[in-house]
Parts: sequence; C-alpha cells; structure tokens
Amino acid sequence: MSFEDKLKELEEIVDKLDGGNVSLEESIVLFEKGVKLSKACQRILNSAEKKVNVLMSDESGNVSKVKFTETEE
Amino acid sequence: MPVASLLLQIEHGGNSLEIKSVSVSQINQYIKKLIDSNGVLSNFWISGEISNFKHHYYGHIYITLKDEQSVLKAVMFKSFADELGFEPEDGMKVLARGRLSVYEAAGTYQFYIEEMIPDGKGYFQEKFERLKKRFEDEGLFDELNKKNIPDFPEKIGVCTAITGAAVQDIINVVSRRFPISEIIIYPTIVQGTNAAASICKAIEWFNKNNAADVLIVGRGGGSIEDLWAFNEENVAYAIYNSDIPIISAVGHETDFTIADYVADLRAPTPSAAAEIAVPDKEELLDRISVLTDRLWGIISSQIEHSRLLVSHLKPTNPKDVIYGYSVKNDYLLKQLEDLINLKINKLCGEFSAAVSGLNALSPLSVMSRGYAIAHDSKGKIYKSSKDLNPGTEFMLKFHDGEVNCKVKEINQG
Repeated sequence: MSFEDKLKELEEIVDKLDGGNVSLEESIVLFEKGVKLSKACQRILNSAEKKVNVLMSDESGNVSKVKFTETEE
Repeated sequence: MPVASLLLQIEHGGNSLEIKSVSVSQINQYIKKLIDSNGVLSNFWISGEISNFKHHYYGHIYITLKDEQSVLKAVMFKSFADELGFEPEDGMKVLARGRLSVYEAAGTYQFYIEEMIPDGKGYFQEKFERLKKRFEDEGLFDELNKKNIPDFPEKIGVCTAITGAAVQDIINVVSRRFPISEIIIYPTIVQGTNAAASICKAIEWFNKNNAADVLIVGRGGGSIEDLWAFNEENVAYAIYNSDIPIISAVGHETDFTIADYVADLRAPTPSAAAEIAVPDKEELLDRISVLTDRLWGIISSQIEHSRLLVSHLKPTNPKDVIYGYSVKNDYLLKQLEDLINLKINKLCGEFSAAVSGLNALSPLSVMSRGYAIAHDSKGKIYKSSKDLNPGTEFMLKFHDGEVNCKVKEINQG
C-alpha cells in the first residue's frame, strides 16, 4: 500500500470511529489498525531520502535513468 | 527638361535683365521623377519613432516619423492600414516598409507606408498577443481541459535545462518537502532555435512511457526573446495533448508565456512549481499527529462509556449473583413462614375462642356447674315445675350420671 493509501485509510478509520455507531469490539480492532497505520506513515515520512535521476540517451537513442550528481558550475 | 539645360543667367550691364527660370511645378515634378526613378527609394525599410499619430476617419493613417535629429512625414493608406497587427501609438518605435515619393502639390516628400511592425520588444509583444488570441480561440486555454494535479505524486518529471538554478530549486524544494517523490529530469534545451523541439520531445517522452505522475516544464528568468520557445505552436500543442498533468514554470513572476496559459497549472517560478507539486512533510506529520490523538481520544471515551454501563449492574461476579439470589430466597422463605405462623396463630386463637365460647354454652359445662336436666323415662325434658305432679317419677341427669326421683312436694315461686 502506498503512503497515500495508508494515510487515506487512517483518516477513514478515524471518521468511522468518530461516527459513534461502532461496537466496542470493532472499535478496538479499528483502533489497533489505526495506530499501526499512523506509525507506518510517520516512519515513511521521516526515513525517506531524496531520489533524483537524470535521463540519458545513448547514440542509438535508448534512454536510461541515471542518478543525478549535482555538478559544480 | 533636363536640369543641365536649365540655366540661370543674369546679364549685367545694359538696361534688361533676362533670367531663365523653371516653374514651381516643374521643379516639383522634376524632383518627383528623380525620386521615383530611384530603385532603392521605391521599396525600403525605415526605422523611427511615431509622433503626431492621426487615424483619419476614412481609414488612412498619418504619422510623423522621427529620430533624434529630424522628422519625416509618412502616410499609410487604408488598404494597408487595415492589415496592421497592432495599435500604433506616439512614442512607439517601429519598422516601416514603403516608398518615398513627392507630393507635388505641397512641394513635400513623404514616406508611403505599406507595412509596419513594432520594433524591438514591441515586435515580440505584438506577436505574442496574436498567438495568445489564436490559441485562446482554438480552445487551448479552456478550464474544462485542465487536469487536477495529483496530491501525492510518486514520480515528478522535470523538463528543463540540466544546469542552472531552475532544476536545482526544484530538487531542493522537493527534497525538503516530500522526498518520497522521485524526481526524473529530462535535460531540455530551453532557449534558442532548438528549444521548442526539445521541450516537445521531453513532454512526449514522459507521456509515451507513462514515466511520471506530474510534469514541471519551465526555466529561469529571461527576456521575452529568451523565453520565446514557450510561445511556440508545437510546445502549446504538446502541453495541451499531454495526458500527464503539467505545471508550467517559465521565467519570473510577471512573465507569462503561451505555455503558462495552456498548462494545467501555472507557477510563477520553478520553486513555486515544486511546492505545488508535492505536499509538505511537516504538515503531513501534524495531520497524522492530530488523527492519532483523535484515535486515542475516541477509544478512551468509548472504554469509559462501556465501563460505566457495566458498573450499573451490581454485583458483577456470578457467584455474587447466585449468593445474592439465595440470600433473597431465604429471606423470602422466612417471610412466608412468619406469615403462615401468624395466620395459624390467628386461626388457632379464633378457634380457641370459638371453642371456649362453645364450651361456655355447652350443657355439659353448665351441668358441671350444678345444673341438672329433669326428664321423663322417654327423655322428654321437664322445663317447668308445672309439668310435674307430686308422686311423679322422673329422672335427673347430672353431668356425671342420672338419679331416679319421685316428686315430694312442688313449690312455685
């Protein structure tokens, strides 16, 4: 599941619980899931490192992705 | 009449003065012929500044073209003036093509303009306005065609020069805000004759390979000529036809190019484009924090609510429940016993009383007090002394036996 999907699901869980029509049993299940998702989202955000790639084409026109190294001007 | 043959002679001496002269018209005619026969003067470009601009109601335009030192009268007839692609104004620098000729009647020469365009920046400005109107009419700017920029792009395609501030700004902003997104740079030529084709190629490559969720197309600041590639027709169509949403970021805040109008979203600078393209990590962490707090809040209050409900049932232990019932049971049994005893006692009491009552009235108890029953041999009871005569034999029943009796004497009293 992508970060976006995780965040969306977390929001849905909170909205559902807020609605009030959930049994105590189901609430606990949803709560646990919500906490898990929250932790996962935070982890993803805090640990992500930048990814920058450049497209290079060779003589025959084939394009490949290469890691971008910042050049000094 | 050739000039050479014109002689101005003044003969002195004598009494007569004979001067050979030409007429005004002849001179003007001559000059007109001279000028009209000059090939260069019949079609050339002149540059100058507009002054004394007048638009005659017949449609002709009258201008005095000038530079720092002198002026030249000019006229543009309606048929030519109607083709003008801009509004001439005093002070405007222009390039005008036409012919020089003589207006004989006035003895003046003037420039007859057939074509006129703004000079320098004005040239590009006019061209830009024309292109803008054309593409707008074609519907390339329509809001309905604009796509939404995705909230969380996994891949961001960047079409700009590989060197320079623009690409660096984009990288810095995305890395700071949302490093989860991958940045893919397609090195693009952004200035000069090859720029338009290069920009198109970059956009088309991303589309063909479905290689990004959003594109940033642009470059840093420059003059209108520097940015011109982003006004080209092929670039406009490439942006319009792109299935991937495009954020344009061309030049500075105040620069607008056709690309900016066609794009799904326009950013004033490359940095701004990057800010639009990705969410901010810190804001997202806040949002997650708020959601988590709500989670805890909801679950806590729900548990508390349930606990309150349960605590209203006492006791909660089944053993306690059973014990409670048995205690109640004993109590009820005791109450029942008491009630029954009470009733029995009451009844007994009543019975005893009744019995006592009966006893009191019973002949036996009366007899035990000393009363005897007189009766004859047949058992008939003598209730009165009058029923007896002296000498009658009768029985006297005592409580404990009978006695045979004979009447001796009767005393009534």
